Amino acid sequence: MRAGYKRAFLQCLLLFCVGVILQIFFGGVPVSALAYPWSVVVALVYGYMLVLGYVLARKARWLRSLFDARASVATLTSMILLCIIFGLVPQTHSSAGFLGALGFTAMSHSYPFCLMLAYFITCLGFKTIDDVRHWREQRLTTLLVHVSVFVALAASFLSSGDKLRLKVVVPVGHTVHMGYDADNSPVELPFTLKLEEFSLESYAPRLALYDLRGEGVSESNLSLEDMSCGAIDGFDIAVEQLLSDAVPSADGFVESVEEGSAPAARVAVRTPWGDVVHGWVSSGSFRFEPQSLGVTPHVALVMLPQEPKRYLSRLTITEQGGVATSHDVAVNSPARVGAWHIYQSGYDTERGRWSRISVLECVRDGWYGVVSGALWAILLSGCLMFLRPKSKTSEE
Amino acid sequence: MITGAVAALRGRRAAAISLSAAGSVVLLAFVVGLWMVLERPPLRTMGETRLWYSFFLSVAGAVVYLLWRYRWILSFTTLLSTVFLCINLFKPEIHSKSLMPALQSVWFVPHVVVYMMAYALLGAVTLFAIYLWLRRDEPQRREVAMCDNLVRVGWSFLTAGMIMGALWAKQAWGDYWSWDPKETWAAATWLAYLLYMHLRRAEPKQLDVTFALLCFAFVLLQMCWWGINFLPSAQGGMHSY
Repeated sequence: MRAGYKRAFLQCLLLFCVGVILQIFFGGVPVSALAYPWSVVVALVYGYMLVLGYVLARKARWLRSLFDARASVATLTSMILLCIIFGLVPQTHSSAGFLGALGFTAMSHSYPFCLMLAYFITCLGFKTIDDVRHWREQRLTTLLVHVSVFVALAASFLSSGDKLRLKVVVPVGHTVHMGYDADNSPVELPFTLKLEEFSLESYAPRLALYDLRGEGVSESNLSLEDMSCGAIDGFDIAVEQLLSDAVPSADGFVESVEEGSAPAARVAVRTPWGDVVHGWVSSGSFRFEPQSLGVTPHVALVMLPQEPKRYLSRLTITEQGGVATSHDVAVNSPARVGAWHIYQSGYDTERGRWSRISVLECVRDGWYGVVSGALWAILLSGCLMFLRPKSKTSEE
Repeated sequence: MITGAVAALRGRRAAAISLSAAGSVVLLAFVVGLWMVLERPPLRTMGETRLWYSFFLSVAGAVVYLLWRYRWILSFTTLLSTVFLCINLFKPEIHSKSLMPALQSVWFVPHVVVYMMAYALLGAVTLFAIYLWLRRDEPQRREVAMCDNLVRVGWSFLTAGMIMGALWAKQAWGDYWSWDPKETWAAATWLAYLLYMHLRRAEPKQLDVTFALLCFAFVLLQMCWWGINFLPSAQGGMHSY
């Protein structure tokens, strides 16, 4: 029994050492090398090798040891240890220093981690085939967990070279057909994107106190959504006039909806010592500086920069066949064109709601259906495990 | 909840359950009230998640007591729940009504609530494991089976939370998994409880090892929940709100 564990853990240790040697000699794993069609070829060959290995395991004891309980314990323990190192070491992606040479500073692309993950997936694959072969109704949940986790991990692993993420900056009214990858190299898209409109909705402006002696902005603040008066840290604040779109004028601010306008409020502040100060505050914009109101020699009232509530790009996407469709793309609401998803990534934060560009990310993921299906199956297996009758004894 | 725990210690089962349930209802009412005042789900800050944790811990304690009648469990869960509520009293960390666009998703509430439920169940089983481990008497089979059941249910919630997070991440920024520090520690935690379940099947007699593993897994869970805030490796991750 103990010899079995020793062998299982030594196999993991050996694999880790091989990973370290490969890392030292070759650097990180060249993920992009496994791109279509090679990813599909490797997936098919890998599946065939798993089945073949399982058949041969009847005669080869070593192969049998890959899907016994000791292999599960050893591979799980090894993965936990690597994840802990992964979590503790800052992922700077630098190869300098001892940890960098071992690949620990770019763990997800390092040989020790990828080899161990591949070994873990392989042991899980053998166990899954074994579960299918010795199928029993009572073990349905376990089988579903094994199958779905195996498919999700194997598909994610094999698809990593196929995934393409491109940054696309589109000015309003313009059409683009090029994106830029992580190395800032241009890549042609299989469709064109025209930004018809970009809109941004913000939360109501908020007032806060600013300590000029270096304490910074007060923790508490007042939202101007539906308040006309309130208090922050003993300072009573009454809003006399609130302009949601304003520009500076000779006597403070005037209402004006034009590019670069920003909210402004005329307030009366009563200090804890009874003094009353009147004046304007504004969060400012790319067009004019923020306006604060000094209420004591050390404290000023400020309007905080508005936080975005939601932002949306109205796009016309034209595919290679000439078919044009209209899409509203927002955070958490991407558009889908074949194997591509188009995500709302950002905008010109300097100009805020007056941004004239939208920053999009186009992600190609040919394995989307496989991985999504596997994840939903894991979710289902989690629910089935919750509903499974409880065990009566510890030996069950 | 405190009076419920005292009633449980004195063997007054009906009073213990009704008082604990009443305590949980009060806590839930507070959370719902906060939700209405903030006009968003109170799940964004550490202080807000502590409230949910306290609530689910109180529910988990009452359910375990109802099912298995351990008198002490309510005392432990109430103590832990009270500690978290006291932390919130002194450091609420609840200020802003705003919810950044990335958090405005149908996955937000189920992802965090399911995780908090998992944390509460796995917290309860850790307390139970420590009790069984330190007790002079040998653990009975039904007591160890209770550990297994709680871990299984906790792990199924953990799995659901993790997968909901992955599906949400794909919808929000195009990757199911990015090895963000929070995700890395979540993976370590998920694997540790998976290891517990495999170890229990492989080595049912090695109780010391499995109890120690449960404690270690709970340390990983704490790292995932709040410990990473103190790690230099985790600054500026996608889960920093």
